[in-house]
Amino acid sequence: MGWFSSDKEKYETLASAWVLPEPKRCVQCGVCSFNCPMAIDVRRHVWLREPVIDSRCLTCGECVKRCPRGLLRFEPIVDTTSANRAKEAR
Amino acid sequence: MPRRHLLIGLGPGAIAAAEVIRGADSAAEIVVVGADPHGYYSRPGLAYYLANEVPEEWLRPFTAAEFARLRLTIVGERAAAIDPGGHRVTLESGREIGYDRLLLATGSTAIPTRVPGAELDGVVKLDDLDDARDLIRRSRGAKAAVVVGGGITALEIVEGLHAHGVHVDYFMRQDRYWRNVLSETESQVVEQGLRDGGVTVHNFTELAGILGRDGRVAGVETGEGKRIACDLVAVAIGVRPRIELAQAAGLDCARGILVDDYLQSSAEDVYAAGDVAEAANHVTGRRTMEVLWNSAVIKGRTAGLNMATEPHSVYETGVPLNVTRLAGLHTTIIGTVGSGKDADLEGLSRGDSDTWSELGQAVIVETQAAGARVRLALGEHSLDGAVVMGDQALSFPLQELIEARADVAAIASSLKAAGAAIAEVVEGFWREWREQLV
Repeated sequence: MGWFSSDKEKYETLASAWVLPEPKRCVQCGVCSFNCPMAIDVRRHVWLREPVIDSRCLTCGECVKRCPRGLLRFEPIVDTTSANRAKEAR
Repeated sequence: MPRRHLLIGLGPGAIAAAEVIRGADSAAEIVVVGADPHGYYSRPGLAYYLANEVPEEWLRPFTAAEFARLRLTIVGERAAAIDPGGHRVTLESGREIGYDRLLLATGSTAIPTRVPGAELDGVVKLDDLDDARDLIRRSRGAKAAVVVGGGITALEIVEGLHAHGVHVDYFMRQDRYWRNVLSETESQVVEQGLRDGGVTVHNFTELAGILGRDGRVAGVETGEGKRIACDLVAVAIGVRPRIELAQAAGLDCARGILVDDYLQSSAEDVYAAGDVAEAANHVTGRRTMEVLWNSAVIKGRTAGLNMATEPHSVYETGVPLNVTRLAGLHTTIIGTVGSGKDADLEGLSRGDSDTWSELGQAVIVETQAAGARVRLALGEHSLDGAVVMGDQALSFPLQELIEARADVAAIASSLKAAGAAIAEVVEGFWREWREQLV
């Protein structure tokens, strides 16, 4: 699956992004948490309607890739729209 | 005296209510009554468990520590009767528990088939964790299965059995899959996907009877008298809300427990949430049933707040949305997209909403481009609904536009034009619309 249109976009995103959930799509199935190599409970962040801000997060994309409902995505931290959305979500 | 909240049910409605109550009232006593021995787990996650994508132990959303923080008293029993006047509930053991506020979040249960042979060993369903375990266990020794029914659950079973190496014959009563939600083309895409994966799809095929040998399933007979050998028959013909307790207590019920805007039932201090609560859609005014995880959570949170404080918080029916996989194809359904009935279902199926099949005079536009099939129901000024299959990039913009009832009159003619680049038009419009919000 191609989430990034180019390698440049991919590396820029991974370097400067967080994983942002769309909680309405989540059914707490646990696939994201199960697949996180750093044992971050991604699902809990979604339940709490929070971006996955965790010092252990590698932004490796496993949770984004594995979520069967496609509710996780990378959003650049610098994007004010994302910040507002995250604030609203909280 | 701290207020005692009694919650009946162990699903997302009850747990979401418990969280909100604890957040609003640290002194409250919260008692949760539920007979499911597995406690709180992700029912929709069973599809992924069945497909080998997540182990069973990961289906439980809360850790023991998170549960401990809620300070719940969990009673692993079934409630037998409610006395709304006396503010007490009797459990099957005869124990009585009084309450100040009561929440009925009893969920729904699979409708069993009534065809001859329904009692045979090997007739299965996918309603709870025990069913999923049973399906996995039985699939190890099974070669072939027949699946009947419709909606999401039928395909979850089809794909789950298929993932475990069982050949599946899938019966549909009419010409196509999920005809009151999907378009003809979308149904065909799903059915072709199933066929490509090795599933034998039978249209216009009725399950007339289940054949047995020594008390076990040995095959089925169709309405036309054709016999197919199989080891399992899986039934997914819809679910029925568990309203028996409420009915016996004299609460007003229709398909579900009738609740007001605050999710309070016809009995004082008795609330309902989740699949069992039949609330009026605050936009259409129509009473609406939904068997959706997120709706259950929102209802639970709203009811919990009204129970813990005063009943001032109105339940606002959001635009129903579900994301699922149909024959391996990611599919998002938002808002109103279809009409009529599906003959394969005797009620709603899990993951379903009444709203999806309430399409009125909307204009339908469809496109297939860049790995995505997109269908829009275009109302007079706004988008009433959308189905996105395959690449999901457009599903987020569409969700936002539909939920906000954004005025799309400016792009209506572009969308309706022959050969319109619908995806590009929607995405361009959404970007501008979103910029204006910031």
